[in-house]
Amino acid sequence: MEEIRKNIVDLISKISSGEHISVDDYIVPNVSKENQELLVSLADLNYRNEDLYNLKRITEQVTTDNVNRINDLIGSLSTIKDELNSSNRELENVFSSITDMLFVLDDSKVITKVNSAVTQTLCIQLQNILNKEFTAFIGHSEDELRGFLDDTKSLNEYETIVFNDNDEPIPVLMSGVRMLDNAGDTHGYVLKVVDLRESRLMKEIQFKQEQLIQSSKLASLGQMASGIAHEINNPLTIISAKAGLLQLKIEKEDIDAEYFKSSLDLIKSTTVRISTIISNLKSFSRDSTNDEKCWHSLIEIINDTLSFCSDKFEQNNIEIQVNVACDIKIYCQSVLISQVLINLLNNSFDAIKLMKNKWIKIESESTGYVNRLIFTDCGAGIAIENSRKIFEPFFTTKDVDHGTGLGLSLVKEAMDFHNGTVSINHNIEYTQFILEFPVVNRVSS
Amino acid sequence: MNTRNSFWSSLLLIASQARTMKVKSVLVVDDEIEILEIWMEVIANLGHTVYTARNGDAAVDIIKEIDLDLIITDMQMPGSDGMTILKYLVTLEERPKIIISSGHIQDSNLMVDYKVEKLIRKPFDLVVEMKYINSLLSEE
Repeated sequence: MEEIRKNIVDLISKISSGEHISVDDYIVPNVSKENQELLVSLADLNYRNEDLYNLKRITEQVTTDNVNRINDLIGSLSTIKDELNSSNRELENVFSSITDMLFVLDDSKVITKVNSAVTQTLCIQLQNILNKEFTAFIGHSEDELRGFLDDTKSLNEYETIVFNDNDEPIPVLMSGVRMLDNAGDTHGYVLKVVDLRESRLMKEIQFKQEQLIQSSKLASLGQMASGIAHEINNPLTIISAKAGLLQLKIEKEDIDAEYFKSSLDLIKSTTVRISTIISNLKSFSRDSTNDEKCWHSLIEIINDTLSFCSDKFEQNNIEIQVNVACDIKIYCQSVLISQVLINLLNNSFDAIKLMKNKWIKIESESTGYVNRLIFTDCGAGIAIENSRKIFEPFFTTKDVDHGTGLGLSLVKEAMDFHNGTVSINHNIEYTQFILEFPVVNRVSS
Repeated sequence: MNTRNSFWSSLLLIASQARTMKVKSVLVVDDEIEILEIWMEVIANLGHTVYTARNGDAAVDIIKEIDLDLIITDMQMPGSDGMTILKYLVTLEERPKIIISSGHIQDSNLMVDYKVEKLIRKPFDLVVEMKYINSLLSEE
């Protein structure tokens, strides 16, 4: 009896602990029929218990899985939050570092955000801008601005004026984007307002500079003027005087065909001499900013330039020696190179005109990579401390009456334009400028 | 007067007797050889003696040597210009007449200061100027 009791107690404790029990386990020996039935119903209970047990296990499993999944989600959410924060910071940095004024408006055109350019440009405190209506704040024709903001297509660029806190007008260029929600309705605006004061000033400066270059081109021509007048008047004199002589011959009825023929030949060749000078002058003095670069023979440019300016040098006993290889071609705007030469020539002229034995040498040198034009005069060189400044605009060591101080800066500008360089050779007792032109493509000719 | 000058004067005397008109000595100064040739032809046709120089210094050398009646000079020339001649002439007690032939004269006082007869602006009408020069050389 004691043993039966023990078996049953074991069984019950197993069942209650949820342990799986096989049917055989329920067959307890020496148990009365009633008790046996009791045990069977107990077994039945146990089966149900087992279901419950399985259910419990599955529930536990699902719960654990979900908790893990939720934890994972929380983890990735916090990563996303970090990323959002840092990109937000980045955006904020970009927003505040943009030098143009930026306004963010809500759908009722109230300013919700501005960048630091706004407070700086308009000299205004942040709290005096935020939550103000944009049209009222910007302080000019509301209708005009409303039109701009209400334009359904896009916020086109338009120029207008805004006033800063001191009521000073500032010319601006306004443009913007409309922020749309998913339904396509406007829920705000981002406006870019560009302060035009600086760019207008820059444009003005650029325009002035272009004018200055053109006028200094004419000035360098002016320095040649007396030479040019002489250069043209002399052949004109030959033509008109020769014509006069022929007139006299006709009056005297002294008509010698050979004499007339040679006189007329001289007249014809002399007109060619003048027209060459004039066409060279014309191409030099006109505005060449829109010219295309082409391949030009270096020696031809030099000869064309000297055709209208060598006279001034001859008059002053300055010998110009040209020793430039005939096959050198450079990819350039020939007018600019001509200007380079004129400016170097004028520069030399002023430097050496009072010397005794005056000369200028123009020579060439070629390597596979670079064509060099070496321009030397009998001057005593350029002080090393000036060798950089000399290429800056308006630097001059000459009197006010002489030179604009632009000549060599134009030389540098023209050389830069041709991807070339200009430098001063200090390792020589004379003044020597070295111009280098890149050999872009060797021209086969 | 040195022997050379007297040689030239006697030569001129012969020439003038031969042509029954007084032969004058004219110096033309210009750096342009074609212009010199034209002046030579014209003045020789007028029956006068022509000397030429291509710059101021060369002209002064000739002025020192020869008794001249007229100098026609360009102003701008390589090396020594027309001013060299004008400045030399003012040092002389007796000096030839001077005509400036130039296309580019900036200093209008030049005419008065150096007692210049005429400024012939280049380019000039040879027929007109020849008549003027002829009448200038016929004076006296």
